[in-house]
Amino acid sequence: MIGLIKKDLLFVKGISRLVLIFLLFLFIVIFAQDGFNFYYILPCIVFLVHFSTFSYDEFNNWDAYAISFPVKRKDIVKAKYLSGIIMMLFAFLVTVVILIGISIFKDMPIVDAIKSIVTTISIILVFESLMLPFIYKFGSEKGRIISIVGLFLVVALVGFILSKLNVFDNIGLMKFVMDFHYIIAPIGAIIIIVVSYFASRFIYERKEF
Amino acid sequence: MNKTIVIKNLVKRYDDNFALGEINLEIPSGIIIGLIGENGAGKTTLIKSILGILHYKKGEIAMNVLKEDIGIVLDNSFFPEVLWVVDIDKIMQGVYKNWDSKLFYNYLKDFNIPINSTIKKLSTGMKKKLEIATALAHQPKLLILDEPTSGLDPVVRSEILDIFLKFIEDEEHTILFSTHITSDLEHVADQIIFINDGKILLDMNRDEILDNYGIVKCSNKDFERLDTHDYIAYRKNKYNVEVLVNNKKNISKKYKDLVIDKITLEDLMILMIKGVKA
Repeated sequence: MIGLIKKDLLFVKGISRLVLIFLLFLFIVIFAQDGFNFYYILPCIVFLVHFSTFSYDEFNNWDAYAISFPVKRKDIVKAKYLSGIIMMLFAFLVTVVILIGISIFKDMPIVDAIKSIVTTISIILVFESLMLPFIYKFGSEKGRIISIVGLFLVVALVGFILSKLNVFDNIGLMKFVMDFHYIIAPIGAIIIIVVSYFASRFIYERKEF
Repeated sequence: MNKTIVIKNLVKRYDDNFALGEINLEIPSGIIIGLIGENGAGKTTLIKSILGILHYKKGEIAMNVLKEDIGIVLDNSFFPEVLWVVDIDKIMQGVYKNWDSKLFYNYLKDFNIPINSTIKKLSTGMKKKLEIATALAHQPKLLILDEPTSGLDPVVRSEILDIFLKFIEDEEHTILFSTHITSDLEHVADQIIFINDGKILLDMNRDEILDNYGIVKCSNKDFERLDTHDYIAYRKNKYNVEVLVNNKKNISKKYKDLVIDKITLEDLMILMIKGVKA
């Protein structure tokens, strides 16, 4: 399975020129705009890059090849989730390093910033986790559109249910969420990632290539 | 002889009505087995069923070899092309316990594959050779290859066939490969499996085929003299009739004036598919 994770990480190296251009863009934005909130840029790039591994895999029929290796189908799915998480951790570390670098020159609330990054990354991982089972089911092209629609419906539905339950009016609860978003978000993300993994695995076990 | 793969009553159906089966097959070890048939005959379906890439509802496939010991070359299915040749080594170290980096690089050197290149930049022949090098570098006992020679020029094809012959020198090694370029098989295959419309038409030793099968090219008048149970199929051309026989010796005894040509697998395939059955 380690080989399969490595494959996705080496893929990033394969398209590193593109990633570098994005990073350059990131730096220009940071220094041009004072006080610009850049926390989400690198995690978003990483999300897009990881997501694009599905298109490349599909284009080269990678999955049929991978299934013929001495690995289980569930390990192929697990490797995909793990490579996404590892890439996101990398994005986290790089963003924090940049943040610390900036804090040398500028006075800024670094702890709050790190909390924001944690929440941002958790939300992106939740989004990706909600999309992945659709990608596995419908392929990267169709799956992308279906999953975005599905994602929108899920968010709308959850929002609707929460508002019906008057959750947003509960000031105590809202304050709790606001104060501990950096803990609540990753816990929620982990739960959703695990559920998503089992859904994708279920789909992948039955799929043919 | 030991059996590497035993397939019993395998049936695989697709939504578009194509069905493979029922397939009953025994793949012995230590030889080269060629799987021939038209495009769409079911060769890839059979190979993908063996490898677990496709699910089948009925039948069973018993593998007497671990997945760890199988080397695979699929048709149009490989690493994402943005990866570099050297990346394959790094990845495969984490896939096969027996992966041998040194052996991999030796093959790359032997096959003249540039190391500092992305997969995308390689020519079709180079890429196929890279796929074969990748399949060989964990020292497999069984090689399964789907159309490894299709789309390649004769020079590269003969290089690949030489690789196969070298691999098979170890008597425990087995190769199963599919192709529609039948002349490749005449050089290397020990056993021929001919598959058509999802069914096995022929499963025979190559020498047995070449010894017993033949083509009688004769006039319409001569053709009418032949008993229907003396031939398998025939095809009427503008000026003559091509008749496929599977009992050369008896035919030449019975019809002394008829000339029986040597059969090629290509003629055999065409006559069995396109010819009128006796």
